[in-house]
Amino acid sequence: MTFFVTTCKRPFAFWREHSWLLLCALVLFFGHISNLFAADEDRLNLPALATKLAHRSLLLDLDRAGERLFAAGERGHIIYSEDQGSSWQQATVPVSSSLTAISFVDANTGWAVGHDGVVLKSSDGGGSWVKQLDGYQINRMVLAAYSQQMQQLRQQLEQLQDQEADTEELEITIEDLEIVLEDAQLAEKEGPTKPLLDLLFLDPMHGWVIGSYGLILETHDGGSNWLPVMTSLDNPDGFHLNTILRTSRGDLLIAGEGGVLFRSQDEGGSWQRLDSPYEGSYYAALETQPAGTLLVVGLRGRAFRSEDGGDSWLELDSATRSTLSAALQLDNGDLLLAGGSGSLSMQADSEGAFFNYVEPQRRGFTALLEASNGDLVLSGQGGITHVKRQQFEEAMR
Amino acid sequence: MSRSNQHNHSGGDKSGRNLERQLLEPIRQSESLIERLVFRNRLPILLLFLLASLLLGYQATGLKPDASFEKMIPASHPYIQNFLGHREELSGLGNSVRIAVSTTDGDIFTAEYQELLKQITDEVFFIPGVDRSALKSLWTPNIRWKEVTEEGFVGGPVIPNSYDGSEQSLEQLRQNALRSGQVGRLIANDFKSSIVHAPLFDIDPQTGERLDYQVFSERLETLVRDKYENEKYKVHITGFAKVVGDLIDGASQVVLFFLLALAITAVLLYLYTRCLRSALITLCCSLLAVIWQLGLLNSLGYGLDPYSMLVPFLVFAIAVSHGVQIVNGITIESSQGAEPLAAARRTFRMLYIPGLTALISDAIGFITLMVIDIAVIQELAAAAAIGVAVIVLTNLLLLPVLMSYLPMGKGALAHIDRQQQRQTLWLFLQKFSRPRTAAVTVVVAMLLFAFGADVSRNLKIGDLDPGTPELRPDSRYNLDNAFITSNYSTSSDIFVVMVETEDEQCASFTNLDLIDRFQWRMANVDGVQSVLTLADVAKLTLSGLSEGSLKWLALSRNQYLLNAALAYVPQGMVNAECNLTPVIIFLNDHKADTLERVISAAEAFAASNNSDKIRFKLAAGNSGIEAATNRVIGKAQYQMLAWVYGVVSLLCLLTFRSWRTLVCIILPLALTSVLCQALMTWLGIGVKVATLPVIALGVGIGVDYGIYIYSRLESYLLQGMPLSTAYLHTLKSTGRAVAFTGITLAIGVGTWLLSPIKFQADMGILLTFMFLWNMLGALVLLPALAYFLIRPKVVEPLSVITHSDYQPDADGNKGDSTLSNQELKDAVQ
Repeated sequence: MTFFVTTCKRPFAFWREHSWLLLCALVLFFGHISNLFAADEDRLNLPALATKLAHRSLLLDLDRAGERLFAAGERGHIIYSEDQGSSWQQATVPVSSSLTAISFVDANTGWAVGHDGVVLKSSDGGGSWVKQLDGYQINRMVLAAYSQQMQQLRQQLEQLQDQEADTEELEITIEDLEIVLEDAQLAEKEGPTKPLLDLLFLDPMHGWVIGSYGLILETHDGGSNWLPVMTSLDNPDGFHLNTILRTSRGDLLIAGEGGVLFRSQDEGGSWQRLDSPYEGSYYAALETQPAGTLLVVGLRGRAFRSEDGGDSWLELDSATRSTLSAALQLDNGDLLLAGGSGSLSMQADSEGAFFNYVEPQRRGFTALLEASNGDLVLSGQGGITHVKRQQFEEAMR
Repeated sequence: MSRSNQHNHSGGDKSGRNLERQLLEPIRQSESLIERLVFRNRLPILLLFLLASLLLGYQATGLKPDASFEKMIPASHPYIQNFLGHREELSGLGNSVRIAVSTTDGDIFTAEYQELLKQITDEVFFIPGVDRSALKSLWTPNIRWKEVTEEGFVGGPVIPNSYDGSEQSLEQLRQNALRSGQVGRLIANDFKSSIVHAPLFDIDPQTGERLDYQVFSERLETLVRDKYENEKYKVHITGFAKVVGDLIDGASQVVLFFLLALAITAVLLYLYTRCLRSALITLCCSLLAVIWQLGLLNSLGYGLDPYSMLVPFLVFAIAVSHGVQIVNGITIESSQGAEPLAAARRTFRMLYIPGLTALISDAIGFITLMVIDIAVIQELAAAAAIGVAVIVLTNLLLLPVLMSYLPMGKGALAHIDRQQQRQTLWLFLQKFSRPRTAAVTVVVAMLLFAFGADVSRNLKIGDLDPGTPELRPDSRYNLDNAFITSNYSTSSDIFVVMVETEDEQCASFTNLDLIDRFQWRMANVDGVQSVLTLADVAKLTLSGLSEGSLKWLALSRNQYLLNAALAYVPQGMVNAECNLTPVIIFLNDHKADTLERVISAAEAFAASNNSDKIRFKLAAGNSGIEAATNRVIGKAQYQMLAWVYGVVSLLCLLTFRSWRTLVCIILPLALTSVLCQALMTWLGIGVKVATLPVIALGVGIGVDYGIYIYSRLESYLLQGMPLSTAYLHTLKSTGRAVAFTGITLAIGVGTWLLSPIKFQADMGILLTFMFLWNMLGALVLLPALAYFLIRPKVVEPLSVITHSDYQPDADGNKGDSTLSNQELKDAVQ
């Protein structure tokens, strides 16, 4: 339009005489826009609806980036608070899949993962997010990786056969891989059915996303390229990997379904499966003070503590039978466990007993966070619960 | 306009006059024919009436109170069509009763409370009509707790198998209750009450009989409430069946109001006539009209629903007012010395045509209601039209015939003489035809008009009170309903969108995902409390299958998982073919604005997402139906006003052939209509099924007053009287009858104020207002307008109808004034 205004004395004359053109242009324009919406109804391509209800919807994880608090949850909701959890704004998110975890590596850079294998990244402190990866890509990636591996193994096998060496061991490996490959082919047909459940970045470049059916991908370039690394974990049953943690010693710890525990002492170079004290699922892991003490919690109120980096575990009485999905140590050293049916367990003194409190509406909690002013922020079925520290202390005593 | 002008113009009016003559000729001819036929065969006629009365009286006893749900809704509206199309499949959703048993002392976890709850559960189990397998309470085996363990789900009945009422087993019960997920559903959020939830069979599977709501509701009262409620434990019952039961119950009290109206009218009649005999005969003839009307309704296959129950009151009141005209006429004739037979005959001759015209205008007013596409309103219109037709027979024919056997009492004759001489009131009213008062009156009327129009801009469509709008806000039912909505996580305003898919595709991922998105759209609409869909059921089960982890509370793209998740869907969420699933939207209230927001959001979503694979169809649920009704009523409101004013105006033009007269008669009516709307706004009564007909009824009946007053006034003006003299004469003769009519009609409907049914009370208050205000308008505003619009010298010739009212009878008793009237008319024609 600027063109007409500056060059023509009668800027709109053309359009006036050819108003039908304008009409056609409008029809095309809006036709195109509506096509954009109608073209792909996949929730991986539908931006999350702007809503006032996001902070009251199901929220699954919490994290902090600088002074901002973040929560992620169903329908692609990512919300942030500039005032330590009192009020929340919604970020712009390009997908409406449920997001299961959110984590920032510094004040600007963070990732969120979720259902449909979606990986989102923000480089502007969490205000806006772009999609880096989705389940369709993961499926193709996994299939390509296994196919390539299969090709290599077949070549090895041919070489061995040429050398007339013993091939038995390799054949077994190939047979195993064939099963995995078949699964990968099937998965590609099924689509992005596997949710990602947690993520960890050591620095803005190096990180992992983990998820259901043993899914684990690694990146060395801030999420531009991903590599499936399932084969480096001894997880033949494909148990879900629920939570990943870095300890102050530099160890990585993954806890998951069926009581699986994996540890890496070389930043993911190799993974070791630990002896687990329990066969039920773990949902959260935490390092508590004094440094080096590890805690895993899970199904039916189970909680275990390890003083030796995960080699041996001691069961704690969490005073609840509700599934625990979050653990937090407050600045004063109190230990807080939260989970299903609104259950909150607190241990005031590291050797003392847990005390259990049930939120009256019995809505499940999913994550815990201590704001910098000491207030408590919980996420869960009712969305955000923001509790003043004083109120909380009174409720728990 | 001078009379000579009128002559000049008469050529142009000729065709109109011919039309008028053609229309009215049959009535005029029938008059003398019927008069001869009736008065020469009085005994056979009486016998005929007796036989007909016996027959119709017998028929009337068969009339049943009836509150058909379908008749109250606009059956041809697309929403309702969609709803009726899926009604059977959705039946599992709606029709159930909830019985909340609350304790005033402590909580529900006491042995005494549990024993009581157990007894009530057993009691409800055995009430016919209850779907026993789906009955739910803490004491039914289908209410279980469950928990995820390492091995999978474990669970059991909420009532421990070892329950013995001990502290220990009560503690066990408390824990089971907490993990059963029933808090907010069967167990109150405050643990002070719990619910027995009884789904009902609309049609009993064993007997094949339709559920009789009245009997069912009565059983709930006697077997549950009366038996178990006491100081400590209270019983609260809600559900559609209970509403209908209470409605029919409440409607039955209408008989009492009718008796009350009858008694008051009888007293007024006696005061008016001072003759016991004629008062009684008028009363009996009017009652006969009601009995005939009811008998005819039953023979024609109609029931008596809470709306058309108004009609007998109207019929009775209209019949009385016409009866009064007849008795008035006969008394005047008798006081001039006529024998009973001659007096009756003359009165019949005098009133047959104006009476018939007035009744026809009433009937036309009622019939305009037929344009509204809601069965109860149409039936009300039909019933009222039948009633008016019956009045022609009972009060225009039978009454004079009966009176012809009886001489008037002396007291009556003396009374009418006294009345003719008493002037205080009439002199006061006469002022309204004088310059200053007339000017003030018209200005005040205009101000009132502006005020009314301004206030009624806020007039709302639909029901505004919370709870069940048919019943009063403080009725037992609405209190119970408020108790349940405030103590449980539930709403009584439910809007249902029906989602149609291809066969067996209701749970496909694509469809569920779209439904899920729709759910979120709707949840974001202002006024929506929560939304429940099949997607919720799927998500909950998927999460349950994943050890209850909330991270898995999402729709899976894995169709096998989805199918497994939906293996156990609650009743009513999916039909047998899996091509229909409801989206249940719980609302904060059922105000028209809320409903309109919900509708537009849902329709917008449907418009951009409906395809041949999936269709979102509005609407079911009480709020969905109300939304459709609101839309129909919002449109019909203006349609009906246009019709009723159009028809009444045409009738007036046809009768008086002058726009000035039209203004004099219609303007007071219009003022009443506007003020009635302002009153509705002020009282918080919305335009709804019950109040929509009120304006048509008010205008249809109200126009009578104007016609009576104006025609008499015109006749005096034609005799050359100045306006205020003519008006005083009018007041003395017709004014008295009009005032009486206004009061009888108002009393007839005024007793409805006492009705326990909210909409009957609303109708009562509005009709009372309209009848009184219309009377006032005719007595006060009409002469004031006439002062400005009508001058004696520009009065147009009398029409045939009004003229015949005052045509001197064969005996020439009327004297000089009527002769000059005749001359005038002849001169013009």
